[in-house]
Amino acid sequence: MDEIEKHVEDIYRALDGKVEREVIARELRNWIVNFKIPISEAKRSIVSKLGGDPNKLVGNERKIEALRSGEGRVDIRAKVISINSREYEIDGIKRKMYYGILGDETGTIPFTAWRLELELRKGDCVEIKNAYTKEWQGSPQLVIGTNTRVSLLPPDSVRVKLSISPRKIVELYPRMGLVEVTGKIMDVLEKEVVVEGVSRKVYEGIIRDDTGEIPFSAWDVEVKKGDVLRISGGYVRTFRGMPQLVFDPRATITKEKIDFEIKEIPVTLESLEGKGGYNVLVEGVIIDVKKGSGLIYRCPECGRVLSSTNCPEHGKVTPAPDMRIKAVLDDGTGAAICIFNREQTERIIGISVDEALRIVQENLGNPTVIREIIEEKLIAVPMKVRGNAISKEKYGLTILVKDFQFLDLEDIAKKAEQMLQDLG
Amino acid sequence: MPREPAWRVFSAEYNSSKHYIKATEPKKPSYVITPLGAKISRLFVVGVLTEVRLITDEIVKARVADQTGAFYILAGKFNPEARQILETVKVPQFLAVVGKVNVYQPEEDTMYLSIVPERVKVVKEILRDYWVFDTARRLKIRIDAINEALKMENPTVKSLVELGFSRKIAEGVVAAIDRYEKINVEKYMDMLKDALKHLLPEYKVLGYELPTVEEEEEEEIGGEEEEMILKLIDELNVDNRGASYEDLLKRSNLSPERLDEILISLQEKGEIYEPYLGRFKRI
Repeated sequence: MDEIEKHVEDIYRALDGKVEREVIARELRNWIVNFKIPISEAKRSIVSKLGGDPNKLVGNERKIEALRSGEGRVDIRAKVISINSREYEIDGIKRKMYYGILGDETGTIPFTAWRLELELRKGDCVEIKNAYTKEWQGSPQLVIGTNTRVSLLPPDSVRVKLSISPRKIVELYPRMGLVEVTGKIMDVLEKEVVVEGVSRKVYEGIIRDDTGEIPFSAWDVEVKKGDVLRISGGYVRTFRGMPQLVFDPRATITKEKIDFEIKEIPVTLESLEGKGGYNVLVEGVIIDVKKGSGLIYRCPECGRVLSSTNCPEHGKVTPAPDMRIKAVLDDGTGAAICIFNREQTERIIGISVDEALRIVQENLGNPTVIREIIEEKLIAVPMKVRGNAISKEKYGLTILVKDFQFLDLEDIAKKAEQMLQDLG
Repeated sequence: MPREPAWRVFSAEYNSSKHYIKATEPKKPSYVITPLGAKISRLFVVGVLTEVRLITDEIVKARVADQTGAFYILAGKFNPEARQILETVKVPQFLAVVGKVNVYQPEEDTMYLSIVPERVKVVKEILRDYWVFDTARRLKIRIDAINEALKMENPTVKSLVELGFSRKIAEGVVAAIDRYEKINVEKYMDMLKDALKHLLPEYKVLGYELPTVEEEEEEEIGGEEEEMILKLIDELNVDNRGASYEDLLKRSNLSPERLDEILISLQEKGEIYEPYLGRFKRI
């Protein structure tokens, strides 16, 4: 009942007290109980009907363009431009959080919702009351918290002005708003997907510019390998721990005639924290070799690493020997666990799996001897690594190494001389 | 939780830090804020191991010198591998150390910084050169950031990020400007250039490789001063925990550098030992 009284008060104030509260309350009950009109819509209509200006109802209603970081009690009316969900765990309970982009006639803003009582979809128009903003990646983000009310507005009741910023691929991170990206399609695969009974075509692949590469997912937009496209109005989400560019026919897509070569400039590990990156190049020093590096045994059926002859899934098996390295690469800005596969491990230590088995046997079956060889080879060694960097909240960054190279240190004196000259 | 990066800083910058952010929860990192805005929880250093001392049965203290000074490495019972390496290698030796910051703060204005090693490895000279260059390059970025921040009326993380500095650099620089009254950027710029010069071939032929070893042993320690310090150590050993460094400094009227030299000399002669960091006792 408090809730209704509050709305009555809102209307009463919007009408400058010219209409009695009882009249307003009767009217409001009629609209919401008998006609089942959403409250916000009912309020606007009542103010209008009783001779007032519905814009006076706004309260804390704000326009997206004017929002700054760190504001409390924000009300907006907006359209859902994109929405994605992610599962997380608190105290062993699985929960779902939502994130995406909202827009109104003044601009767009990324949002996060820790709890949503109604199922929101892309294109829905909503009224959000009592949200707040915080800084995220240097820009304001709207947060829908436990005290925020979200209600649906009639379809297409909010017009959206899309603010689209041109970005290089290396700058893309999830939830940054709408972006314009120009790049070359390096690879593409066509898929048919049924969404809510409707069959749709998805083109998935890799797009590249001169700063890097990113996987994309294009819905109902045919893209061909080798095309150079300017995609204006896509957005970025997290997919398998890496950023992914998503776009559909609402984006403006034009063909360009430029070609792109990837510059072999390493990115910092700090820049990958919390977002990951596809096929990135990083440079740093190996500062730790983790347990589970060296000679390991896998289930021949599922590849799971075993510590006995029992696989939790396949029971008693004859484990197959394998080698790998889990090493921490640190570039002074951040760190990542790099996973080197069998062939790469063999290259690093110059020992094959068969030889490793023999060495372990000679050391009374103690497999740590191989890890010690790896530590001797890798600790404090500077290297360049290329691979997919996967970002997970709990574990930080993991890089699945595609290629690696030990740094050539012979030219340090020359580099030092150059730097001294630059410093004057 | 992303892993804390291993910062590359010269020992002179690390050792002149006066501010420390202690972790409020277990398992959370503590940070040292250097005057040039490195917000350090972990370090990676490569230098010359010049000295290893057994402090107790379980603690080894070592010095790793770079061109600007030296890092103190403190390996205890939780760092058996690092301790074992430190105990067995001969000095001088090129050494790489990965470790956590360690702060001993007996009073508000006094801070002793060391590194508790996670990994220690004997390395080649070329890696030291790489480290010096890499460390200089990073110092330059922080000098630039400090200079930009000093120009601002109210420097914030956001305004520095907008200028293109990374978030961690921006946070460290803002923290340093908040805490340090005066930051002598010029001094660090000179230090940076000096460090780089040591990498040039003409400096190498001069035999500049292991300067810190000779420098340290150069000066003779006066017998009278040693006698005085020994007496003071007995006198100030009140609760049998040893005489504190601060008391020794106050009562002896020596400069901290001179006192350090005498204490090291006495420890080397086997006259005294350091039962706790910053506490000295007769053997």
